[in-house]
Amino acid sequence: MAKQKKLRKDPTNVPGSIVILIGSFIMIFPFVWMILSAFKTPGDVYAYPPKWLPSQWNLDNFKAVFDLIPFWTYYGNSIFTSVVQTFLQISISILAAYALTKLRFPGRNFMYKFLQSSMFVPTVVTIIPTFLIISKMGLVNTYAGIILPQIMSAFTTMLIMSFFVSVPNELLEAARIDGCGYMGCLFKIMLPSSVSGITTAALFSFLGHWKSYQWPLIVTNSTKLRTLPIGLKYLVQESSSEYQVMMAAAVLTVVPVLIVYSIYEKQLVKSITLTGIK
Amino acid sequence: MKKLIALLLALVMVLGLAACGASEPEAPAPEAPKADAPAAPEAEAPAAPEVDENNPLYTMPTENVSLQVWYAVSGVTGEKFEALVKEWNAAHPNVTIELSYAGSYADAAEKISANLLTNTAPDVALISAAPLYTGAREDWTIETLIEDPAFDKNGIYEGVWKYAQFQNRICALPYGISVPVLYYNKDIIEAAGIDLATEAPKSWDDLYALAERAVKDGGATYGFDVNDVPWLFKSMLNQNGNSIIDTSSGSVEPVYNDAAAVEVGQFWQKLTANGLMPVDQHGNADKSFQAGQTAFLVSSSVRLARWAGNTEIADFGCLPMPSFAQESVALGGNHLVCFPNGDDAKLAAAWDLLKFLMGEEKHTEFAIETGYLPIYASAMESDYVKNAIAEDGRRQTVYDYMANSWSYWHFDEMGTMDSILGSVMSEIENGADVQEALNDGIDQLLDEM
Repeated sequence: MAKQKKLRKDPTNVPGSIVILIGSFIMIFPFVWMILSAFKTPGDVYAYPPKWLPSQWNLDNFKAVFDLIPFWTYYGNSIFTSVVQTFLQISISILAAYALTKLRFPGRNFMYKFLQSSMFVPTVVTIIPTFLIISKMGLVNTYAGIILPQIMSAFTTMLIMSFFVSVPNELLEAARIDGCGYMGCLFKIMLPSSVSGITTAALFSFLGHWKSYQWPLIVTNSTKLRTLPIGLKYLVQESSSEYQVMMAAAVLTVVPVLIVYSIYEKQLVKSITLTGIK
Repeated sequence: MKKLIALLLALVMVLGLAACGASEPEAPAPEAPKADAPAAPEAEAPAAPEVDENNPLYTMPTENVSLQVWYAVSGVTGEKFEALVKEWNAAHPNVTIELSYAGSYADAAEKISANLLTNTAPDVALISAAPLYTGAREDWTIETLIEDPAFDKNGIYEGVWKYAQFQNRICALPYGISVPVLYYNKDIIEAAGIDLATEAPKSWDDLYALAERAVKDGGATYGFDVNDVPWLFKSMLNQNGNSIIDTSSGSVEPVYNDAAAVEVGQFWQKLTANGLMPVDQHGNADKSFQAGQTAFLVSSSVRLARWAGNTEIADFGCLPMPSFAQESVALGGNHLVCFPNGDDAKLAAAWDLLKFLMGEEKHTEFAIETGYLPIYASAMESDYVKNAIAEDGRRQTVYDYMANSWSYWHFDEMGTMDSILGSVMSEIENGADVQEALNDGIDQLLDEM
């Protein structure tokens, strides 16, 4: 902390400032390029040397996005599935994290290690077995089919656990003595003490679901159920992609993410500082 | 306690494996054919199935039918395919069609694999490497359907049919067919003082010399580049007398490490070693060419239709592919297939749709508008193609490639082989010993097989 303050207050720390500037540029450049490209003509996109600014600013590329794909349908589906998945995932993660950190029961350590080990299984390995289960349940080509397999997450559970662990057991014991039940302790003590962690987990969860492509593609066949990443993929032609149209679609796609981020920015930064998540 | 947990985990694994082994899928799984499984010798085509002109599958059903149609193409191709399917549907109001985009070729492969396991595959699909989802599963439905007297099987180039085979048997319909084509940047060639009317490259050595001049005198950053390395490399191997895989023994055996292959690899290495071709940067080949940085480019024939008329990219022309000992280009593209699910009315309707899409007129229309190649020899004489060539003479050059097109059967590890060839070529470009790199590539593929 002291070093950070020193860096911020010391205007002569040129090397540090340069490193930060370069890092910032690397992070921001693709984003700026995406926005500028969304307004470019095909000629601007393929120009060499590259053109920074569009030769003429217009909204043709945005119009093309709506002409090429049912954008609003995809948008609505993405918002619906992402919000529901995030809510369910965080709810389950909170309950699991609470049980694993604050309750005593046989096999707790085994369950924790089992949960931890599930993070090492690549998603691609589980796609077909999951599809077989969802198909047996008759959920192929339904919203439930998109949502249900993606609401259990070891990552968000463990992230929330790292916040729950810091809540003193003495506080919970005192609440129990005063007559508070297990769920009362969860809602009145654990959750208020871990808001930043839960918010961060929710943000990560939302981002993961928002950009999810493979599973929604496999489990849905109807355009009415398709989500935005599938629409974006449709814009990628097998040759000679219209990059300017893709960039316009990408700009439209990141808007909800930016809104969510701007709302929870302070909580996110706080939890990153507390947990050291990168 | 830890030992107990380890023991329990081991028990769970054993039980899980046993359960997997005992399970019986409801539908035939996309089973990998064994490398040593008997296959018909390449020289001997299997006997054609008995033709039954009264086969009910050849007649469009009159009852109400619903069809699921998936397609793994987007952009111009996806739109044209959708339009053609809707055109057929308009003439058959008793059929309800659900059209569904299935993602990229790789995504569609995964989607189809999963759906075949649950017997929920689509009725019709436009995908790549389709023989691996039909013939490899012992599904030879297409072989019977193409005997329909109303289908002009013999009008399609013989080499193109090869691209739709598994173990020497037709099990898919070749649809969006493309070949690698040699493009050149007109401005660079002019600046280098090259007259292609008299100096068009016949051999790869000719092309090498022109690429050198394009860099030296034409201001090109690179003299030559290629978008899809394994595709061109396979064409070059076949040109030099290497068949890539040997199927004469009845099984698939990779052979891309003989003296002919080494010669091709050494030529490739010379291009990068002397700075005429970028090392390991082929993903940007199209963009560099469009931006006017590259003199010669080998890329898909589909690019011609996509780039033609775009005045905002560098002006370009097309040339016949240079060769080693013989002219040859490897076919690529996608297939149409149907997946029978026991409902004959559905299958008959699916076949009627496929016949419509594969008919000479409609296929040629699809090819002209999307940049894929006409697959009917007689289509070249049609007004449709003649008009297209009159509008853009470069099409003639590209269509002429079909005369030397070539393919080998599909086999289960062909995608893996392309991936291995990509890695091998990357090593060669980075200066590895060509023979050793190719030998490693063979070993890797044999391991996979």
